[in-house]
Amino acid sequence: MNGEYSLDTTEGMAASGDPPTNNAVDDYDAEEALERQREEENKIKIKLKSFEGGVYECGLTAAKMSVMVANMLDALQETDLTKIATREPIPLQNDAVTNKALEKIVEWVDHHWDDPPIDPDFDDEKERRNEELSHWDKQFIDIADQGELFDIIAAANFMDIKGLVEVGAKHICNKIKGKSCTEVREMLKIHNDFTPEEEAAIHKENEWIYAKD
Amino acid sequence: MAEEDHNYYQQMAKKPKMSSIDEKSTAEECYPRDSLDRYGDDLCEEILSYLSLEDCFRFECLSKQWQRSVYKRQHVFDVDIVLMEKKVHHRGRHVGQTIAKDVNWRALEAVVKKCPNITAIDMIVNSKDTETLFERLMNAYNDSLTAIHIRFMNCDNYMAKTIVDKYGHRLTAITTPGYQSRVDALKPHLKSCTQLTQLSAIPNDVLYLKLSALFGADNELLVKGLTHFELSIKYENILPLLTPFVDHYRHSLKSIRVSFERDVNSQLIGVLNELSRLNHLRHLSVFIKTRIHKQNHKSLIGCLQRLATECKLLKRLELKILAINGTQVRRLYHSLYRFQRLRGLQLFVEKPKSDESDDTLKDLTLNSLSPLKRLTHLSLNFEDFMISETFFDSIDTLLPRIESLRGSSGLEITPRIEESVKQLPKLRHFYFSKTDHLQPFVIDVDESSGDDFSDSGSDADLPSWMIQLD
Repeated sequence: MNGEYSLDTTEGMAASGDPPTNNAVDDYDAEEALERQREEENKIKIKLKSFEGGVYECGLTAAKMSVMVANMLDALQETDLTKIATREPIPLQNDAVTNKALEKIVEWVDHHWDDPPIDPDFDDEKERRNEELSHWDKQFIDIADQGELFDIIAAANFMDIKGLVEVGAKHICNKIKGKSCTEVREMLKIHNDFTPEEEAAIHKENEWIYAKD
Repeated sequence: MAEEDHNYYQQMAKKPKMSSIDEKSTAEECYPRDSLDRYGDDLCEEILSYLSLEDCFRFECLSKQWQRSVYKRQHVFDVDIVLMEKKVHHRGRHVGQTIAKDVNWRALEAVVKKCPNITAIDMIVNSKDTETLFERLMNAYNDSLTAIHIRFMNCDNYMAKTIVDKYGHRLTAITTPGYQSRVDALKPHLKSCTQLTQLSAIPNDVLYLKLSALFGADNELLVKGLTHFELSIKYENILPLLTPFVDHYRHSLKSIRVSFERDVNSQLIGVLNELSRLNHLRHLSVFIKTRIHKQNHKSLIGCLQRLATECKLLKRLELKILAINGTQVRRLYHSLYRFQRLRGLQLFVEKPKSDESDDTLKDLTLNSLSPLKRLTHLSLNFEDFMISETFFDSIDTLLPRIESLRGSSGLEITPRIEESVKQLPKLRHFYFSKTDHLQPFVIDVDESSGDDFSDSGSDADLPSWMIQLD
């Protein structure tokens, strides 16, 4: 996330009453430069290895959408980025990162790597949360095999890819919206660990919400 | 080398950088792959945070994990959850529109009890009940609230004044009609509103705020921390107030909406030039309701040029101009390329009512906008003007980041257009319609909202004045 236009700068300037500086221009140029750099870096391909051992190739910028992968690469302190491409595949050691899941994740980051960074001047957190998924994301996440879907979300969470976890979360919440508790339990295979008495007590407490229908 | 790498990666992977590694899957209990039970609480909370508050209450009983997770990340108090329809009768007949709503106090207790992490309130105060509701919420979440937006609608001046007097120092946003008696009632308390960042008029209201609302006797600026303001200009000469306003806010105001109600020509250029000094603006909305003189139109293009060079942080630009002819639209359209940094652009142009000339804008192409390569939200309302069917050709290469494309024109949407638009890789919304005066053009407001007012800020690319068009 790039906080170039931080409020602090603004306030600092207001306080000192300085004439407008060229900060804004610099920020824009810096952003442009960063964009070009991201584009260049994405041409470098790195390899990711699933828990099951499958190896998948992915653009560097795309792979860095995973905060975990980005941290691992940063820690290498490799100045010559092209060397990264020749390294051993990065192992993703969580059983949710199956071959299928990793394949889908690579597909997702490859589509999204050039998304504009979240810009507090334009994106509002509340708006973004309520924003519908794009057509592409909807098709991407509409996966018939629920086990695979849950693998992808858990793997994205493990790899710390916020955008993809969000897509998964929105998809699940959309699917259960307006359904009855029984339907949701069935759909998401949730085991009811309440005693009938406990469940009845919650129902009674929340009676008013059902009365809204 | 390779061996080293491998060890290294393994070490890294062991350090849990992540908020949640699926705890349960490593535990002895084994959950089926296709069961949501497999997720740890952290991921479960994250997923359920996208539920509406209402669904949280509905689904609390699903399992113990859901019970402890479902309310955790609900930060916004959705007032609708405790409001019930109240049928409004007028002379014995039921009136369709609901103005006041009953508060379900029992529900309020339940929400307050179960949702401890509320940090934001956004609500309409329009009755004694809603006033009490507001007070109860302020007491319940006394310490945790960081964003408090209050909308005074159909409420009397006394009520508005009382609330601002008592809670003014905590309010972060106020929406109110801008008529004189209301402004006079609130003014003495504005100075104490030190947290106030947004002061706005009611969407679609004819009573906009005047700049004088911000100034006390001796022309003292009363509110100094605004980031968003809306202002309307009628007859009065506002430059004597606008200059000190801009002097104070030039490095801090982020968003302004200006509407020129009347007598545009004497002030338009002066005001816009003054506004271009607000060089930290992120969002500018200009609404010109009356005809612009020919000579001023040229200056208007000049003003836009100046805004584009001075306001370098501008991310969202909205221009709505009623009574403009084809030649002027063309010139306006071709001047927009200067706003290279925009993420959102909205253009609304309408022919003067008397103008029967058959203007077409068939020569316009999206090429002219292609320097705006960061654009994600584009709305072009050409209304009666005709554009070419080829207008949208290659939109995916000219403006590849478009997520939302809306608008209208005299043109029917053809398969060719749909085909071009479908190529956009990030598209979320596409509503482009043929202007039809028999059926008023209504833009689809965010489906997730039931209430136009409480939602007026939530549809990213849709300012309030676009929602209701005659």
